[in-house]
Amino acid sequence: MILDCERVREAAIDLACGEEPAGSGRAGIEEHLERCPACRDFQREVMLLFASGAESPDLDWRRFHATMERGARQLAARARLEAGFFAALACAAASVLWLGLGAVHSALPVYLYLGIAANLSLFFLPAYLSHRRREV
Amino acid sequence: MREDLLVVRAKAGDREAMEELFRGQYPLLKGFFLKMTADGHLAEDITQEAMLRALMSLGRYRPEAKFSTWLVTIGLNVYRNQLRGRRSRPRQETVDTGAGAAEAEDAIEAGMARREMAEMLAALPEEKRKVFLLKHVYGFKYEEIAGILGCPVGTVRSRLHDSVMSLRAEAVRRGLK
Repeated sequence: MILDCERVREAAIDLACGEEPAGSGRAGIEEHLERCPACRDFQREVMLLFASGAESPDLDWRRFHATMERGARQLAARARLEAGFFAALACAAASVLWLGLGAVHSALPVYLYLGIAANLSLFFLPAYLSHRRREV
Repeated sequence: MREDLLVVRAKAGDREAMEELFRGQYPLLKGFFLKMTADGHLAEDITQEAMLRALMSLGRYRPEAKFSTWLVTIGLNVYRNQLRGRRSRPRQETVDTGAGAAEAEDAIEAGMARREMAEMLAALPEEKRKVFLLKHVYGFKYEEIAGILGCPVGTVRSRLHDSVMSLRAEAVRRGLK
């Protein structure tokens, strides 16, 4: 009887919180609850415990909106920073190439630098876009 | 709008979708931390910080898990950091009852019952309190709670059972039965 009650009370907790009781079948539990007033009381108390205190708390909607605003601003700033980082990376790579070429050929025209930078930007653009897509 | 669609739109930078996504979670998250900390101001701080962090990491959220599960996991990390900073036990004297019309007798009674419940919860060990509240406030399944807390399902189940037994014993002791 004692062991039975223990098992049924364990199951009553699982049932009260919407879980399938481990081990014991529902029919056996219900049968036990019908003939055991102590376990019935226990089940009622557990159900009351889970039903209590479910009210909505006081909410600070002004702060909520401020947080959303702050988050949106920080996200936009981060996106700009990432785009800047990729652009700087392309420029740095172009500069390294241009300086390397400058060491071999003197008096390189500026449009060559711009050409290298443009080509490298095109090279980095897919990397940047795939990075953005991974985020989304 | 469906949550998965909201997530896609929010990830794409849609401000309205972001707000709608988090608006639905705000009361639950605040309610959870209010019961967890028994401190209205601390609960609000943790909730806002968790939402901001979640917003900033929205790109990393994968819809295999529920959004609420992901958000509460972030919230629990924030809570852990806050506790580490404060190094103090939850305060009980600043319980935010959430009651509106204090003059109404039933509102007072409800407020007292909530305060009793908050005190009983505060007396539970932290890990058991977390499990109980994740079940109580969110209704998460054992598996989901295990995922959030990083422990086996059996541990979740036994912690929940222990917390129910402790709360019930405390309710009997206080004559609330």
